[in-house]
Amino acid sequence: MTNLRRMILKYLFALSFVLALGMYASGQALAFTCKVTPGTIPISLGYHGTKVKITGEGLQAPDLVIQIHSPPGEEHLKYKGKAGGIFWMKLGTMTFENVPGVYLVYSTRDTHELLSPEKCAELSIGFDSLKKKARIKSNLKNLDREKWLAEFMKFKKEEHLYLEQSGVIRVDTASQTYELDIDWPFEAPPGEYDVEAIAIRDGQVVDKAKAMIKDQRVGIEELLSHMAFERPALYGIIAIVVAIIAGFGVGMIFKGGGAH
Amino acid sequence: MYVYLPIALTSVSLWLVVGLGLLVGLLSGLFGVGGGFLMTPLLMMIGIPPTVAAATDANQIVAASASGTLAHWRLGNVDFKMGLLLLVGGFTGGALGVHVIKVLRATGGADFLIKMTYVIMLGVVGTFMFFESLNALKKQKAQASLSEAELAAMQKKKKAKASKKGMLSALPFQIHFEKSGVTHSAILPIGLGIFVGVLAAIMGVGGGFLMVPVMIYLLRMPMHVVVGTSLFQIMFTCVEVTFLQAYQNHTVDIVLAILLLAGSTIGAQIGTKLGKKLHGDQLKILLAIIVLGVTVKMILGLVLEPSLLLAHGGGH
Repeated sequence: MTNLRRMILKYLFALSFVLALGMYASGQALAFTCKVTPGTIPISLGYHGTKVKITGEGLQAPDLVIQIHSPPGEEHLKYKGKAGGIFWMKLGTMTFENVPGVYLVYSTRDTHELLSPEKCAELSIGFDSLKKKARIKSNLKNLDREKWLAEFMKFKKEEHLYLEQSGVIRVDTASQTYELDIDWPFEAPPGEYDVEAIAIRDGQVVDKAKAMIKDQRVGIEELLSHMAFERPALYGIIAIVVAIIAGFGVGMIFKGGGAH
Repeated sequence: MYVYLPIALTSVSLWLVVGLGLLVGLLSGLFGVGGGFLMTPLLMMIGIPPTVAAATDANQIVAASASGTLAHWRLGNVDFKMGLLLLVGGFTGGALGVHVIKVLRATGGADFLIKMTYVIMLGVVGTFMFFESLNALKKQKAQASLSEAELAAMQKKKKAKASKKGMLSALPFQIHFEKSGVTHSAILPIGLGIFVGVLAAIMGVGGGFLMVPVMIYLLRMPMHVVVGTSLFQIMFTCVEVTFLQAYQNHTVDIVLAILLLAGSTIGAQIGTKLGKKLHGDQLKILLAIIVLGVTVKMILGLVLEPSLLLAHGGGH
């Protein structure tokens, strides 16, 4: 009986300790978080982009910037110009270095209102900072950097891979939470994307939180992609056989329809 | 309803792609062209990267031309003898053309040559076919009003003219092509096959729209045999292109190809049946109008400033 009493007392003590710890923690500020739902986007046969929700808590600032990007890399494109002063055509290659393939920026207000240009550049926030860090390699003489960077942004926006949108994040200051709904573009290639939430107050960054979005092929999409790159000869033969069977198959069906 | 393409890395409307296939298949069955000169730009317009568009197009043409060849073979419209000789030339010319492009890419100026070849060849072929067919239709109307004696005299003249083949009949390896009802030296179709093969490789297309006029005007084959034989030859050319593109460049999107061929194989059958109801010269005029339309679109694309000054590599 004495042992049982001791055990009960021990449990009660441990329970009161946990409760006391919880009460202490609730009095303190919640950690600033960032959560993406779904964290992994499955690319299946019927995939056409998806809705992604980004949420978080512990926001102790009135403003927020959320940016999603792939790691900086190189983009090899063709530039168009006038050949012989008459015809518009692709004249050569232009490589944009240190640029992400996908760059989506969402904010509570225009990033120019939230942070100074210097701060944006320092923290790599927004299109202007991206332009400053990008490099261009081309055989084009007298390359106009500003013009071609603007063309690059236009090209990426047209492909839905670059986006800058303000006033779209819902912030609840009372509960210190935030919420953002985005349409994840189907044009984004499979890969891993960094999600960064940056809390801003009075032109200063007060907190940061990170998460990740994984965009990956599943099922038949994964199988075909793997085969195309790992077993290209087999893939080519299958493509031809499928085409011939389909062609002859339809031909046979139409025979019944009175081809003669 | 959307479908994600594993190699093109984009999502497309299922019905739109099947519809495109149907349209191009219809042209294929009607005229004996693969439709590459139409399909590749159309695919690029719906967001398919140029390299994937060109390679996958070749894949779907295999199906459309197989379907069309079968339909024409049943109708007795395929001259296999002629087709094989053209194919030998086409393969040789294709390899030569690919080499020419490689050399030009290294020295620069390849894009200019490709575009110019496209515009000039399409323009010349389209204009020639249009006026030639128009004249033929006018003649038919005039002949309808002639007496029997006058007609017999005209046909006599025509036969005498046809028998005067000059230099071409002096060439060795003369073969009679029963199906087409013509006699030529084997060198002629092989040589023409090489010529079309070189141009097709430079332009990145199957070459059907070049091969058809060559068969009609230079080999003097009857229109119905031209269509079937052209499809037979295109089928083999595109089998080769599909394999090479899949093996070397990994640019064949099998999902996109299946959607396109679902439409094109049916389109080719409808086209073949429709073709039977139309007169040969009417068919030629229709094809000429389409070819000229594409030429005008290309010229506008060359002259007007594009909205985007950057683009992905590849394509036309």
